[in-house]
Amino acid sequence: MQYHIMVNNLSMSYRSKGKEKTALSDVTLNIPQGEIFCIMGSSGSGKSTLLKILGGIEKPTSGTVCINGANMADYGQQDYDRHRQMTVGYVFQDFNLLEGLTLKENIILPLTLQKLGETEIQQKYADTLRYVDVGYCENNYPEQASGGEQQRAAICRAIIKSPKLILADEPTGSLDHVNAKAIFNTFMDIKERMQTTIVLVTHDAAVASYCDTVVFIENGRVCDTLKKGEAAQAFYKRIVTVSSKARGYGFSCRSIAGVYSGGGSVCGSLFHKCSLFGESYEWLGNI
Amino acid sequence: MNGLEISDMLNYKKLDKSIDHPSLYQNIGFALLAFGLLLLTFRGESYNFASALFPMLFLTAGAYCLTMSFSHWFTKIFIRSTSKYHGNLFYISQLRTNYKKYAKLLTGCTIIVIFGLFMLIIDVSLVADDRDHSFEMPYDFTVYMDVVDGDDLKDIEDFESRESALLKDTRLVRILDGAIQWEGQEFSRLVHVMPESSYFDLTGKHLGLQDGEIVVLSQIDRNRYDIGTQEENGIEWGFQPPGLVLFWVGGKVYTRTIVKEIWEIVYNIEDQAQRAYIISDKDYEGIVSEAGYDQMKYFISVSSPDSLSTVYERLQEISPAITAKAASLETQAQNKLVVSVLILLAVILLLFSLVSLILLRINQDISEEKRKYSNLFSIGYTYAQLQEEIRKEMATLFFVPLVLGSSISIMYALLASSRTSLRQVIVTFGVTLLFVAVQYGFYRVATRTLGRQYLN
Ligand SMILES: Nc1ncnc2c1ncn2[C@@H]1O[C@H](COP(=O)(O)OP(=O)(O)O)[C@@H](O)[C@H]1O
Ligand SMILES: [Mg+2]
Repeated sequence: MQYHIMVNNLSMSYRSKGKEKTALSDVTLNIPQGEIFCIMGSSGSGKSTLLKILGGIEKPTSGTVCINGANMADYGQQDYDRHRQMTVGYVFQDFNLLEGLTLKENIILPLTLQKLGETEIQQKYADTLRYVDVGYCENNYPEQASGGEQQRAAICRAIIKSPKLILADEPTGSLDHVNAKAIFNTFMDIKERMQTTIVLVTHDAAVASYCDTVVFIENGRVCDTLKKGEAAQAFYKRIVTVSSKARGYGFSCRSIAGVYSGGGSVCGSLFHKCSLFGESYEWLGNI
Repeated sequence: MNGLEISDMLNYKKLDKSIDHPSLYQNIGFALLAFGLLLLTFRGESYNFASALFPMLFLTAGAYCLTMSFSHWFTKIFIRSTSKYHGNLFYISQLRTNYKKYAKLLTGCTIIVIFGLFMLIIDVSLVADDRDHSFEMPYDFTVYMDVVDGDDLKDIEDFESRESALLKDTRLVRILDGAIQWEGQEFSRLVHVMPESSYFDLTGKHLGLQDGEIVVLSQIDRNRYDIGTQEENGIEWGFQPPGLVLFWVGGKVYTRTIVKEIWEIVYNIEDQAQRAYIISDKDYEGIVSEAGYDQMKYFISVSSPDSLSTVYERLQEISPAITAKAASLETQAQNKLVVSVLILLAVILLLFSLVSLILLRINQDISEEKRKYSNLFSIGYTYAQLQEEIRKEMATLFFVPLVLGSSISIMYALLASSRTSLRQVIVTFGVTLLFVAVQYGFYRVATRTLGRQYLN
């Protein structure tokens, strides 16, 4: 079944303490089904706001979001609830698991909201574990689990309801590169096997380089869009150039090391700092 | 920052969250409650300070242990059935984390409820006790005549003949002030000593006393007041057991034998705890001659309330030591009012401190909780479901102390007196309902306010 999102001339401004703050202006995007759709941009550029609108958490000031041709502006309260409860799976940077629940309890939480029966819940849980393995630590509380385990549990919580759309807000932002890589591989796997659309916010150029589409946002406006279809080397280079232009040298050394050595040129001082991450070089070289 | 501080910080989170051995607390709590109830139920007939205090101490300590381990035993209720478990996952999470933090708060609130409600019950029974206490004073005036001489008696005769139209009833009886030993103190408690003939003058009844015998007169209406009594050799007593007793009159100590106690309102006394020893006339004469003086009380009832002030003025001429029933009753009523208003103020203060404690604690965590709720919204909770979670949480904070505390107060109020009247039951439950209603109001307001704060 198709799941196609069209964003047209979307604008969003927040009003806090009487001041109007524009978070998004005139954003137009086309998100086809089954893509990993990456959004990059500096802090405060409006990435999370865009995700919240796609997730039905915030409503835009103007412009439209159409899902399979249906305008979200026409949704009633129940449609919004359904959208959040059944269609969208959310993954956060800091996992946001409930500290009073075990990983397993955290994962099945969204199903209990849909008032599913015990057997159905267990069935779906077992299915989910086939994509992401957290079964070995399912009875640990979040504080007894590593960051990687927590984020994998959070992904399970998002995919257990078989969502059509996964919204991931800097999912690897709190993880070291080994875990980040594992998490990203999980997303790739989910995309392959479930044909789920994944909209991903990241600061990591290496992660971005695997995505099908990369969109750069600055001050609430889309400033560049890249498609994976371009030649691989050129694609990486553009990600790095565009993102370094947009963000200064704020991105992680790991990505630069990987991308630049893959591209055959070496960025002296940064590479020196990043030579510890030999592994990330290898990783990128595999593509 | 040194290593020790860092390890302290690491431990801090764990310490803050929980008490050690919650199941031990829970078991001790239930045991203390049960023991307190046993003490209350099988307290025996005697009513004293210790028998009232100890059950309360055990019940309160039980409540303490139960609220400290609250999340431990309360979560078990939800884990029992799968559908309940699934339907309350977030609530269980809150129980496992927040309510451990809230344990001390719940404990404090429970203790406040126990005492607040108990005070309120006492207060309302006091105010609701609109019984007419005038039956405790059969006469309108009492004139005290400590040194009786011929002039006084002549004055009384003149008064009675002059004012006979205003008077309904007058009695002039001999009653000596004496003292007995009480609670280890030397002859400190006042007791009236009167001859059998005085009792006959007042009641028209004969007791037939032998010399050396005492009948204790307790002026309490047993139909209206609940007094604990005991039996000894087939004789019922509430004040002093039958047998030898010492009393003091006019500087000398006498030894006599109590043979019996009677409960009957005979003449005006200052307070209902005052007792009189009735002895034989011959015995009385002996004591008077040893003491070298006699004392009398002159009781007067008027024919109509209009003549109260006139009679009062005339009586002044006989002796200035007069007490008027009307004045005593008014003082009593005023004292009652002052006490009940003070208790009510204290209860209101307690209630406010209860609510502000809860609100303060909630306020400390508000930003963290708000973040939690907004995340829940993102993962698919609807507004209605979030409202429901807030409602559950507030209900726990507001009603767990209330249920635990009020059941303890109710049990105490009902079981502590050996004879529970229907009236007591009604007052107790009525007051509890009122307390619950006020608390429910606060709960509704808190739920609505927090709903607005958390979910915007
Ligand atoms: N709830 C809010 N109220 C007011 N302003 C907000 C709110 N959320 C975000 N903003 C503002 O909107 C802009 C975009 O925020 P956000 O989408 O979170 O940026 P990003 O995720 O790219 O860092 C920021 O300037 C931020 O201050
Ligand atoms: Mg953000």
